[in-house]
Amino acid sequence: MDALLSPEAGGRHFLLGNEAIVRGALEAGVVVAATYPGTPSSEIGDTFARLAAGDRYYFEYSTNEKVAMEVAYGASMAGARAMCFMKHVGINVAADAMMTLVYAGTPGGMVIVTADDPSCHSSQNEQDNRYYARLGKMPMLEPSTPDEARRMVRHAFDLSEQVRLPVFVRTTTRLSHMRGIVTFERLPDVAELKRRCTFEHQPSQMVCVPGNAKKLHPVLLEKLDDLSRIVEADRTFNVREGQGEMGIVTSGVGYNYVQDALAALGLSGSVEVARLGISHPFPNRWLADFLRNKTAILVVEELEPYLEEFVKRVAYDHDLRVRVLGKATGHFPYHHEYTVEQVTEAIAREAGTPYEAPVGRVSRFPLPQRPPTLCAGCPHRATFYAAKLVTRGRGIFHTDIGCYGLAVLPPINMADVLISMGSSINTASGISRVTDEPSIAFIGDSTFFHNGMTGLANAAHNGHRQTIVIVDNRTTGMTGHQPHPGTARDGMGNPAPALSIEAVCQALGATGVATVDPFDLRQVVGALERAVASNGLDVIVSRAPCIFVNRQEIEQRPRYQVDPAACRYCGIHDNHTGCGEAVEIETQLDRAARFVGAAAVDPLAGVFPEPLKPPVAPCVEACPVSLCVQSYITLLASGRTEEAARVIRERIPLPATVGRVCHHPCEAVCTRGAFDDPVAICALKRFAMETESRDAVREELARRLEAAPNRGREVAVIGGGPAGLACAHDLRLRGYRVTLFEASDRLGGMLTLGIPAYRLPRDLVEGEIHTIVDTLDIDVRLNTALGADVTLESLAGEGYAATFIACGAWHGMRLGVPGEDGPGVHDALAYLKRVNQGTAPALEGRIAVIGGGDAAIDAARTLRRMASGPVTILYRRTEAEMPAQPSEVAHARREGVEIAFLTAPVRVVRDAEGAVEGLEMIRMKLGEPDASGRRRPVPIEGSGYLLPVDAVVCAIGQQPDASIFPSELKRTDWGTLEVDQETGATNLPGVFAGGDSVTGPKTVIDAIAWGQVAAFGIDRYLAGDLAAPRPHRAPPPRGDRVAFEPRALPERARLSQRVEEPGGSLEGDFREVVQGFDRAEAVAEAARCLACGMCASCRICLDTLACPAFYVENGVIAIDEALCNGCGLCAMICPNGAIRPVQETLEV
Amino acid sequence: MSWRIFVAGVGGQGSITTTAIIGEAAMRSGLNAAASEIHGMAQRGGVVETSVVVGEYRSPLVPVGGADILLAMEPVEGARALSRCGTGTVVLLNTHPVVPFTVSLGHQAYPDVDALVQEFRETVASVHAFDAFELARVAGNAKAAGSVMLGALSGLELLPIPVEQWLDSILERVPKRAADANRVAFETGRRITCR
Repeated sequence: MDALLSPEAGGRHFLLGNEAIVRGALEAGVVVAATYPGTPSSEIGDTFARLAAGDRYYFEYSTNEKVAMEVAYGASMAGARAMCFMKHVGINVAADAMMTLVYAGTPGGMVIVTADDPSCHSSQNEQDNRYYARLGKMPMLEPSTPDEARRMVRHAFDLSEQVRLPVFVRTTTRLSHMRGIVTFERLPDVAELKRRCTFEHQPSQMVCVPGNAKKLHPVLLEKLDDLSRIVEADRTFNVREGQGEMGIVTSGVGYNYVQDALAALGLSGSVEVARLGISHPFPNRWLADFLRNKTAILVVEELEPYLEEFVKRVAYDHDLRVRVLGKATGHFPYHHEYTVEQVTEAIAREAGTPYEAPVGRVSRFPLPQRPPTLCAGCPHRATFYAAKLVTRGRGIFHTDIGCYGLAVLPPINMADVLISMGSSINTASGISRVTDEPSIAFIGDSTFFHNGMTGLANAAHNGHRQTIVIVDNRTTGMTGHQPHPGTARDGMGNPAPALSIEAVCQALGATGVATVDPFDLRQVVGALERAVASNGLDVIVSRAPCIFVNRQEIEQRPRYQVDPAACRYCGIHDNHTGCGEAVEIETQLDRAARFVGAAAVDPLAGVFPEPLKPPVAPCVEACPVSLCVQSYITLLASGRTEEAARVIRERIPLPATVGRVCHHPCEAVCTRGAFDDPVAICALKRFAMETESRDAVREELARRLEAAPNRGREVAVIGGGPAGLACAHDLRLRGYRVTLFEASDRLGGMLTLGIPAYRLPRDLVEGEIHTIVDTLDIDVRLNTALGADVTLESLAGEGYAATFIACGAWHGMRLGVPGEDGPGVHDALAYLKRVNQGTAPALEGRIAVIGGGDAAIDAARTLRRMASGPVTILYRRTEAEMPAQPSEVAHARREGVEIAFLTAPVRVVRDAEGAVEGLEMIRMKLGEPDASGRRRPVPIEGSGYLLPVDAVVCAIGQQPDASIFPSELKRTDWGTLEVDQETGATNLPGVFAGGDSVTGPKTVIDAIAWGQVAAFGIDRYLAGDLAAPRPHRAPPPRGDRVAFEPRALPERARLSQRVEEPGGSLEGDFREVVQGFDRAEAVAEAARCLACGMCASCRICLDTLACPAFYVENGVIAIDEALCNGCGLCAMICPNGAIRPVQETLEV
Repeated sequence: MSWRIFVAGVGGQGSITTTAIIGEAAMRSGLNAAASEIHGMAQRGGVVETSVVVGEYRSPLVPVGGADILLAMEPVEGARALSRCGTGTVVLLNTHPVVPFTVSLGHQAYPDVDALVQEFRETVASVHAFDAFELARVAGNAKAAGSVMLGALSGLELLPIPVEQWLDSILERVPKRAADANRVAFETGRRITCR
């Protein structure tokens, strides 16, 4: 048997205030109890429900508080002891009954418990219900402790019968939810409680028609006079203690604070305290006696100045000159709960006692907030998700009292108004008369029965249009899972008829009633779409049990887990950069909407539709350094240029340079290119870096360097080109000392010696290089060549722990035709290098450049600036096969370079002195494709001709200068170094290589990628774990790439960067030709991006579900199995099919 | 002697049960006790701050700086309750984090637990930090973390409550099938603080 049902006196138990109230009622012999659940009163009902098997009383969860009060009154009418209890706002609902039943009187003892909620712990307001006692002319009892709550409730029944009025007992949250030691008195015999009552018919007293009511009011006033006499004489609940000139008047939990405060100040006994256990009717004479001989009275009561104003009135009525201190004097606030400290401070102030209010320590760490949230597995989350997919947050959302009110919080954000029980339907009705925006009212099942039915009838009768979603979780959730008229058990736990919400709605005039399972998103979406479109009065009953109701079934369900291999939560960056989140949420909802609308979604069967977007955008896959292109483009489109620059710099150490000279393989695969033209990615990168200040870059690098560990080892990097610079940069930030060896007189390699200045301004590239070298404190040795000045042995001797070789591919390939050797035939790269060093001779006369790559174009365009003679490029295939960038070809033509296709030299013709006077050429045609996939040029027999030229520049390819490599290094057939692709490790321990030395002539971005690979490899090697996998690389392209269908194509053609038109002579003019985008152009161009990848931005589960079972650890999304309730909503909306059920049972 | 004990935790961790057990054990040992709980809205995954006073205090609330003992069921909630601590407070800290969804969403960061422990060490008289969740799991039931905390509290031997009274009060409150795990969890916790 439950201890609370122990009939004996003397038991001591540690009880909640709400439990003690029940014990008091049992001791008083209550036979009927009724309530509607509401925190902080809920546990009173829970306790009656729990003890129901004791057969001592009838208890019910009534449909609402008014019903509860009238049910209790019905029993009282017949002379039985009855009780109703509710939260403070419940009294508002019941007040209609209450204000008149005081006229009719209570033959049987009737107690009304109101549980007020200062500080709104779980309420919509903090009204002070003591005024109801005054308004209704009823006694009001205010206990301070659980044991006193028991005693007062017990006493309240006697008092009620004595004066034939209902008696209020008021708690606050701090008493209802306070535990204290409660000592039991005996319970009445059960047989006594079973006595049947006989109703005494007295229509003149109980039928409150106007004629009777008018007579009953004076009777009530007489009762109040009787009551006043009783209260004046009371010495049990209204008590005085202590002595002194200062007095304190208090009630309820305020009394506890006063006692603790006086003890803390050492004032116990020297201040006189009047504690009012009965605060209505007010004991005027008793208090007047207390006020006499006092100089100051401090009134300690939470919320309204109820006692304070009575005290002032008494002082006035009795002509007592005493200062009354409280809210009006600013000693206490009118709102929120009090604390012991507040009360202590106020008493100390008036008593003149020294007191220093303690200052709370605050953690120096920013602490994450922990707002309440819908539980994992809550069906409301699913319903709101579907509603969000349908409405995209557009519409007016009327919510109601219950857990679903949490929809106001992110990420759901679907609540515009919440006032009172059932208000959702009515505010939607009213607003529909003045706006055209559609309204959706969300109301719980219990709330619907409480006060939603009347609103529905009203809406139907008056023709109000709205969609009503009844979120039916088969219980009264927020208050602790009590039954309601729609459930199959009553408050005593007995089987009861479950009313059909659908039938009720139909009967009340809904134009359409649909029932859906919230976890069948498609069904909910369909029903909502129809309801919103119908523009009528549609009800959708979204029914799935609360996880607490469904506990047993939920325990059986499989939990879900995230497959990190399939999850597409940023696979590239350590820290998600938040790329365009505001944009992305909408995109994610699009994705979910299409996903939900796609093929049958059955996560348990493991059947997933194809992803709607490629997991990683093709531009990211194509980028050798795995730069998250989509991220920075999205940032640029939203005007967040600085963040975009940060994203780029995270992967590219020389970003302004790359933004000019990159061959941008990303653009070749850009999804937008399939519709019109690719996004101008490279130009956008240039724009992003244009806005970056060099000082900011230095600061950032210095900060990163400071944060880097000190590994105490030094690495030699041979080659000052992009590969070597990238490697040195990364090694420094990984904590190694670095010496950079460069064979020429300057750093930069191809950047400063190969690429002409009109493409890459010297101050820009040198600035970028020196920012890195200086800020990162990299030692540089110029004019120091591998082989000639240093060797692997000498470097090892100097103490370098590892070496990275990146000497480029500077060795020009030869034509292999007669007459090639001799003056007048130049190697393109060697010539460009001399131009850049300022030592190149001008070439006189007609010049032929042989080749079709970037070096040929660079040479031709440079020659246009060096020599006045005509320049012709000779290429053996057609323009379509040219490896040079098309934009470069166009620039060359614009600058007057002629290009001849399908022709090749067979001999260099020289005059008697050996000077070049022409080229013997042969015409070509295209044959079968060769190994590179390009069609092989085939000579056309008999098509030979002579081309008169004065100089020949050869640009048909380069290879590394093999002569400088130590012979022990393994090489390929192409003369390049053979290395491990993941680490750059050569066959020699501690020797790594990359860039053109490994790949043959490739691009700047490829060289940078190799530098990064090798820095990683060297770090792993020096850590003794070369086999560790390299993180943060874009996953390899997947075979299952899907055709991406954009929702809408932003209608805008690709923008081109402005080009300086050549005016007059180009001679000596090495100024930059291509001008970058301005801000408006950049934003417009970036907006063309279709955001076609889910990479780096798929966090749909985190952003739109906010399920508390989810967490992120080490950059991976995971589900806490202990929190997951197996609802599967996440699996339904994951577009990657990455969330699947776990089959094993949960170990607890 | 009187004591104020502040219990800081997260909904679902058993803070309320733990608080009630302390009060019951005190009552059965002939001491006065009162406790303050939190129910309703705040429990939906939110912060749960409860408290229990033993001895002559009338209000169960713990003033700023007024906790004699802080039972931190979760590290961040412990740090949040630092305002209740004075230099003399004894802190029992479960180092097992319950990550709030604000962190899962990436909007806020969860601080380093070792740093939080260090901050307590710099602030209060005595800190006992341990992973009560893991210890309870080893004891046979991860949900018995509260019993580990109570064991550690009893091991301090600050409150005049006999060991058997602690155990009786625990076993009365926990499900029968979890009794053994809770007994072991209590003993485990007790060994952390009892020499």
